[in-house]
Formats: sequence, C-alpha cells, structure tokens
Amino acid sequence: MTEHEQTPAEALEAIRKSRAAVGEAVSRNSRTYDLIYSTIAGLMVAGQAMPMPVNILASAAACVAFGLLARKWAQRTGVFVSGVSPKRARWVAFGMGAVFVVLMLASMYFGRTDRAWLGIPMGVVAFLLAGAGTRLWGRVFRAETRDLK
Amino acid sequence: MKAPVFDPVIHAPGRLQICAILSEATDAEFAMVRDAIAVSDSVMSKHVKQLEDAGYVAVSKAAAAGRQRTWLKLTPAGRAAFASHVAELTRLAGVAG
Repeated sequence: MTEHEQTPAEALEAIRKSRAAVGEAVSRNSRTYDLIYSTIAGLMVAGQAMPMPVNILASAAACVAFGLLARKWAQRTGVFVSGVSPKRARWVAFGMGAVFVVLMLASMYFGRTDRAWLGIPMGVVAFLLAGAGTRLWGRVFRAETRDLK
Repeated sequence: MKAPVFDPVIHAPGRLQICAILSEATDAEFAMVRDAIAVSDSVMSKHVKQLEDAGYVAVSKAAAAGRQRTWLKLTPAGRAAFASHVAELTRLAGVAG
C-alpha cells in the first residue's frame, strides 16, 4: 500500500487528530501560563493609577513581559499560536483586550483623583478576568482545533 | 470556504498531518511536529523539504537556551492550498458517504 492510498474520510480524520495535537500542546501546563499572564495584566491595570511616568513605564513593562511570556511559552511547548489568529478564539482575545482597556482607563481616572487606591481593586479585577479569559480562550481554541470548519 | 482543489503535494499522509498542525499554529517547532506525527527526523526532513520546495512551508532557525531550534510556518500559499485540499477532501467524503 502506498502512502497516498487513504480515503478522503481517513484523511479528514488524520487532519482532525493532527490539529487537536496543537490544542493539546498549547494547553499543556497552561495553569502556570494563566497565572503569569493574569499577574502581568493585573499589574498593568493597577499601574495606571500611578502618576506619570510610572504608569507609562508600567504599560511598557507589561508589553515586554507579555512578549517574553509568549516567547518562553512557545519554546516550552514547541508551538506558538497568536491570540488573534484562530477564527473563533480571536473574539475572546478581542473581548479581553476591550476589558483591559476599560479597566486601564478606569484605573487611570482614579489615579487622577484622590482615589488612586482604587487602582488596586482594578488590578485584582483584571487579574481575575485575565485568568478566566485565558482559560476561556484555551477552551474555544481546543474546540476549534477539533472542528474542521 | 476555498474552492476544492486536490493537491498531491499535500495529500501524502505525513505532509497532510504537517500542514494540519501548521494550519492551527502561527509557528511550530520541527521537533514538536515530528513527535506529533510520530516519524523519524529524516522522514520529517524530507516532507518539510517537499513542502518548502512547493512554497507551502517557510523554515527558520532560532537559538534558544544554547541550542538551535527549527521553526516551521505555513506560507499564505500553503494556507490557501491546504484549505482548498481540505475542501476537496470534504467534498469527496460527502460523495463517498
């Protein structure tokens, strides 16, 4: 039997299994990733309540930290999936981005008033939502890899 | 959905699996893909070379933790060809079923 002799149904099943391997690789030990990601998000949001230029530095440091985390995780799992490239999971990433922007603006607003301490609960909210968001993204992505559409 | 087109370069089981993995990832490491499809380094290299020659896969090397790692990525042409091939397989499976 040659390697080309597989029925279309068998080929589709092989594709489904191979794609699922990516979902499994990405979600392997992902709790550590979720925890670090959420911590960075929380610090980024809370940092916006700090005076200039500390809040700017907090944003820049968070961007660098997110980039390093993504790189480290790709090296660890052997696969890199951009948060916004999967067709369905990207909407979770866009939603998380919108939530972070709102929380950062709120934190920034509180920082300009005499309630700068509210940046801390804003950061905690960001931490919790980021954790829930990354887990949701992973679930949607894994479902996406199991589906051929 | 892409127009269904059967692609003999992609259809061979190993290359089909490689393309399936790369279609879900932005980049994937050679070793991860090799382990996922359970082939030897040499077989994997041959498949990657054929996909690279067809313009479907881009290969890059990056040093990490003191060792060289090879990363694979589907090119836009590879993504389009794979999507068309999957559409054709789906059509054929529908005809057969």
